[in-house]
Amino acid sequence: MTEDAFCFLSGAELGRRIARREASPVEAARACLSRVDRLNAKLGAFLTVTADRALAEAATAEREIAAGRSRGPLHGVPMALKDIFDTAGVRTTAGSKILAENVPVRDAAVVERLRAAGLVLLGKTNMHEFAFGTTNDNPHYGPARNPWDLERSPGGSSGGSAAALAAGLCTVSLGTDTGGSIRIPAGACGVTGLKPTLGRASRRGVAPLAWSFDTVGPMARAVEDLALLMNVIAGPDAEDEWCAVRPAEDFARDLERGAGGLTLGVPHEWFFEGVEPGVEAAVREAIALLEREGARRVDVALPGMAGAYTAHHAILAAEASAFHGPWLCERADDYGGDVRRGLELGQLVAAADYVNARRVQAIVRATFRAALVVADVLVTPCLPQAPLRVGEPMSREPEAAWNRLLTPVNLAGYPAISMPCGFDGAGMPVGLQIIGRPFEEALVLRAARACERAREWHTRRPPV
Amino acid sequence: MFDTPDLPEELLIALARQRGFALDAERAAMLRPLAESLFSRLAYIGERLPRDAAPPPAGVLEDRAP
Repeated sequence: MTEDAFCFLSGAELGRRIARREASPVEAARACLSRVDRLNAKLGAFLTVTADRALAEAATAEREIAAGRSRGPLHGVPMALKDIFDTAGVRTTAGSKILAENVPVRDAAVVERLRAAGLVLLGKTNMHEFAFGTTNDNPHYGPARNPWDLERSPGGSSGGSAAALAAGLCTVSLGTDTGGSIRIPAGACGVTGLKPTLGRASRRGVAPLAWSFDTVGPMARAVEDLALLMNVIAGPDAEDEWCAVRPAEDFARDLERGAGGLTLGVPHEWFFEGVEPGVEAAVREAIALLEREGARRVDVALPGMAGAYTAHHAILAAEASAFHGPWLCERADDYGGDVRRGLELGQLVAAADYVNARRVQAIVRATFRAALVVADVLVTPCLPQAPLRVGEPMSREPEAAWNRLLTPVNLAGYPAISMPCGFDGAGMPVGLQIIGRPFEEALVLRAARACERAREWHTRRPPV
Repeated sequence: MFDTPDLPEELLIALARQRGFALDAERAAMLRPLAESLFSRLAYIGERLPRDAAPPPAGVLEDRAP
């Protein structure tokens, strides 16, 4: 197998080969690091590469496996982490100038769990500054670029992770999703990303953006990898009061059960309005494909989504500006222009408007709850359009914003995946969003796997 | 679609000063269309909320069956 082919194995498959000692963690890490050396200048995917440490960790994994001490199915698999997760002894910038010299002394809770599961850290990935944006056009470290078209954004805020996955610079990754920041880049780059239910995974050691929405989730090229990563990161954390007390479960248990018996809810209003024809065609084909695989389709109503977008925007801006208030007063010039404007806007949100936005949140949750009485999952496009050009600003108007199909899900707090479901006329990936009931990530993953199995869009590689 | 609130730049500068951060005229001019758009939409929402609508309970999302 060529080095490059090695880099495009799924984490699950690489883990199986490592466990059978047909592949070496050190070879896997070296292969990814070699691609990072070759491609990162083009892609801007990594902010920090921990090559020496990665090779040492890989060698340790190799020795442990040789001695029969397996840490699980991802033992020895190379990962990259969005630079928002605290990593002990490794610079953690959150994509900002303000934290440019920040070196945590302790790993984030989810990083501790990944290390305990034997994954090998290759480095930290580029992101939109403080996760407060969706383009990954980072003014301090340069933009991350989309491997499918280097003139286009990979999306954000977890854009470096998605670009790294699509280009085979790492095998799996973690992102965060407050307003689409896992699903946007997954959709834009043709990889998969899961925003779990709010509270599914600990946020201890993760720089906050908006407490009401911040969610840690897995990113990968294959659905099975998301399930295996969820098995590692999900579950209670006594040090994070926002973390649900419900115990972790086996998220891979139903992956191969197929689409038979599932009811897909398709909300036409809002979610298919103003969507580019190439995107709509790919998504409708994916829905038809799931029907051919045995799912039943029902139309569902999800009214009030423009208000949901606005309520989410107000809550996010207000909470972000509360966290950033001291820095905004003392170091305003150290923020990029768009983030600073967003924080300034958040400072001006009136208390009554914030509370009204929370009242909208309760209504939107009830709306999603009702739709998911008649359907097992909801199926929509992820992004309404092809990825933005690098440097092109994102609209914040509800009818034009490219995350407008995603933020209502953050407002509800429900789990949702983005997975590749085809390509548009320009050859850019199209993402399918599958939304589930709270804490039913396993069902979302099952539906996604059924789609992935039927049409292997995820195996296409970008031209970098 | 909505009534746009009148948020002259001087008002934004004064509000910013109240909240403890500096906003010059140039930045206020950049912020103004964003603020007018968001606050007009929030006003629209506020006027139409059912009177009995309350915020969701604080804390982690309840996970009762739908």
